[in-house]
Parts: sequence; C-alpha cells; structure tokens
Amino acid sequence: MTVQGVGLGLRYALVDELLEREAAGRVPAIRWLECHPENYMRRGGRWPKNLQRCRERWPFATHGLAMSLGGVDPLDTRYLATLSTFLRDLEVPWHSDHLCFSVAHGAASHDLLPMPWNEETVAHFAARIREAQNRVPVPLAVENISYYVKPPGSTLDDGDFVNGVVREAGCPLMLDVNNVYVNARNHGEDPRVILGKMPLDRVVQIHVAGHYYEEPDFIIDTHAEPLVDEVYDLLAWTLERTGKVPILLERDDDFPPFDELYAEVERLDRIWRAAPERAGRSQTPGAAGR
Amino acid sequence: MSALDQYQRAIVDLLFRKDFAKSLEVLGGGEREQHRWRVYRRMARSRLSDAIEASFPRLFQVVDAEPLIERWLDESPPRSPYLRDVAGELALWLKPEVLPPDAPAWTLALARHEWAMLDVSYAHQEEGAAEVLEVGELSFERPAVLTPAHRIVRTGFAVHRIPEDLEDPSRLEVVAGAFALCLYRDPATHEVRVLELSPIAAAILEEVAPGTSTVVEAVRAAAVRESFEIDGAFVGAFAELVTDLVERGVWLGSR
Repeated sequence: MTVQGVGLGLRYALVDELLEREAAGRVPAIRWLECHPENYMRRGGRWPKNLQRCRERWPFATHGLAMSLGGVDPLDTRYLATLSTFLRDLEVPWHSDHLCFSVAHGAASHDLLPMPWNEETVAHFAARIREAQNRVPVPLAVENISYYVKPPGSTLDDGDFVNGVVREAGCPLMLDVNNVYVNARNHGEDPRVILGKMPLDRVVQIHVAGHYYEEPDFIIDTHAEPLVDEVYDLLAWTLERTGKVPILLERDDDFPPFDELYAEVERLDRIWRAAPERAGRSQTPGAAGR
Repeated sequence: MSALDQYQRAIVDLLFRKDFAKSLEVLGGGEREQHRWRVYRRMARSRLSDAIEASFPRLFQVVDAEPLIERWLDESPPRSPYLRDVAGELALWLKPEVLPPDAPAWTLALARHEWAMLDVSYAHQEEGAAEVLEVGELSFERPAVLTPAHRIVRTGFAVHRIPEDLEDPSRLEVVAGAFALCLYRDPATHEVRVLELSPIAAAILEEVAPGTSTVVEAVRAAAVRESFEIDGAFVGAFAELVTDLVERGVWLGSR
C-alpha cells in the first residue's frame, strides 16, 4: 500500500464513521491516512485499537507535534526512541514535524511557535534535523508553519528561510499550502511568490486545511473550517509545479457531517488527478542518507 | 545566553508568566505585533485549559476551573511532550493551599481520583511488556502478572461514587472514610471501571502487584499487615477474589 492521492487526518471523532463507510465502499477517494504519533505513543486501550483497525485498511504517514526542532533544549531522546518504535510498527514511508519550537527551558507549550528567520536559525534547524534524522527509521520531512508575528531578528522571508533549511538539512519538505496562504494574507504578501521560493522539488507531501478570520486582516490557522477556494486554487498551482504528490486534508475541530468533509476530499482528488505526473522521483525526495 | 535562547525564554515567559510585560518588551514590534503576541498567549493557554477541563469533569463542577488552571500555568508550566499528560501534571501540582477556601474537604481526593481514572485509561502494555507478553497459567507458587491498566488507590472519601452530572454540587454529600479501590480498564470495552476492595483484598493486591514474590508469599505478607488468619474460610474467599479479578481482566496469570 502506497501513500498517494488524497488522504485524511485521522481524528478520534472520525474513526467509527470512516471505518463504516470504508466497509461499505463509500470513501474511495480517501486513499491513505495521517495520524499524530503523540496521540498513540505510550498509550493503551481504545486509541491504539482504533489505529490498528484503520491500519488494516489504509497506508499511513505520520505528522508529529512535539519534536521541537527549533528548540534550544536538547532533543528529547526518550521521545525520539518511542517515536522510532511507533514509526517502525506503523510502517510509514516518512514522518514529518514542524519548523518551529514548542519546548524551551523545560516548558512544553503544546503550540507551534515561530523562530526568527535568519542564517543562524537556518543552521540551527539544519543541525537539529540531521540529528533527529539519525534517530528515526524513516525520512524526516519538515513543515512550513503559519506565523502571526515575524519574530525579532528575522532577516529572511518565509520562502527563503524554508528553502535554506531544507537545502542545508538535505531533508524533504512537507508543504502546507494553507499555511502559505494564511501567512501571505496576514503579512500582505503574494502566496505564489512565497511558494515560488520554496524548494518545490523536495515536496514529499502537501497539507491543506481551513482557517478562521480572527479579524478582517488576521487569519488564524485553526483546521476547524472548510477549505476556501483560494487555497484550492493555490494547491492546483503548486501541483502543476511539483507534480502529483500526496495531499492531506487536515480537519481538527468543529467536524461537519461526514458527507461535507468527504466532498472536500473529492474536490481535492479531482485537483490531484489533473496534476502532471511526477517524473523520475522516488516517493521521498531529498531524504538525506535514506 | 544566545540571542535564540533569549528569544525562546521571552516566549516561554509570555505564555507562562502572570506578568508577561517584560516578555513583550523583549519581543518588541508595534501595536499590531504586540497584539498578536498576546494572541499566542491566549491560544496556548486556552488549548491547555481545554485539555485540563475535559480531563476533570467532576472537579470543575465543584471548583471554578479558570483561576485554578491559570495559577497552575503561571506556577508550573507543562513539561511532557504529550498533551494528555497535562492532567497528571496539574494533579501532581494541586495542593490544599491552591484550592478556594470554601472548597469541600474531598476536592483534592476527587482530583486525584479523576486523574487516576485517566491514567488507567491511558496505560500502555509497554509498561509491563515482558511480563504481559510472557504471561503463563495462574499459579500461586509463582509471581502474579496483573494488567498494566490497573491502579490500586486508597482515598479518604467516597469520591468514586460522585456522578459525572452533578445537579447541585453544593448539596452533594461525600462520605468520609478509608476506601481502597481497584481501577481497571475493561479489556473488551476499554472503559475504566472501579471496584471497591475490602482492606484485606486491597492489601493482597498491593502485595501481589509488584510481581516480586510468589502469590503465596504475597498473601502471607498481606496477612501480617492486616492481621488475618489464612484458614479455610480465607482460602475460599481468596479463590473467589482471584476468579473475579481474572474475569475482569485484572489478574492475567503468572510468570
């Protein structure tokens, strides 16, 4: 089973209906699933049981929340060891985490916090990604995050920063198109210009999601609303340049009736099918040393 | 301290200090940036508050959630990379002096009970993987293997009898007394269940659970602790206890 086409983020609230519909052959456009390992690691009972039931039907990729790749604290080796076992057991083709920090000075924020964008942090990220890559058994991809303030000390823009980190670390990119859109709207930039600077030849997977207008000129990346037309358009624009890479719909809260969610998957599937083939590349471009 | 270190320190203080004005100074920017840094604080704290409130459905019908959670975040930010662990971190931090003066005497016991229920629901086989995977047939001449998804809890109030939906918490009467409980996860439904134990049953399970001595030795140790005779009546009752625990999926076998 290969991770390709359109996938859905596995959330507890979706499991039963997802399995029921799959058994009835009613969700053919959902070709793979993604989960957050932290929800299942070191955990027994209902959650791993649900994961196992889904794994029998779909291939998985994983998306972490807690590696804190930008942090100044040492990488959490205990967490990484548990993660490695989890990834091996789930047989995922790659694992992704965020270009952010979430833990600092021992405090775990459980948030994706932005880093100053400059050459120093490019080097900091690249070194930490290489170190983490050495501790997990599959290629480690990094995701561009949404940010609401450009941190002090930033000298690069979003696209140049991500490009710098991915090139220096030699890792794949998990490209979040909605994050690019949110950042562009929040900071008065053109999302296509930002995307044009991203290392599109290193994209292993794409994320899309909905967002929320906190204020007329301030969007929060909530994953709790439907996708907007502009993000669909931006996705199609991106796929024309990357070729067919797997797309993942993230929906984390305020779940609509399943038919509405599935209609989004089907629309994404049509966009994916219209994209050019991805010629001459393995599934994990830029997987350093793997 | 490097610039990056200073920056991350400022963010941690922004999120987890009651007085975060200095952090905003360090982070700088104009009015728009300052507003958005505050949004980061609001979002991070509300995510953690939501996780905590969902974890203690009874506790926060008895005491006001917001001041307690706010104080916890200011004094003792979370440390685990797993979001579900924040409930346990708060439970460990709770102490009588942080509760409102008019909080019932059993408030702390209730918080600990609710966390223990969650802890059992989360319990992973890895915690006792070797023993659980190699469990053999039940023998009293060997150490017992109990499921990792159980806890023996002693409490001074009958907080386990408090229903989840409290119509009027102020009229709730919670019996004081020494209670011993076995919390365990039903292997079929994954629901956490509560079994009230007699003092003798509790002592036996506490002696048996570590799996460091044979069941016979553990029972003898319990007999010394609780001053009971190992006679014919006891043997019959003990067999019933073991059978019941096997059927509930608590007592898995021997190793």
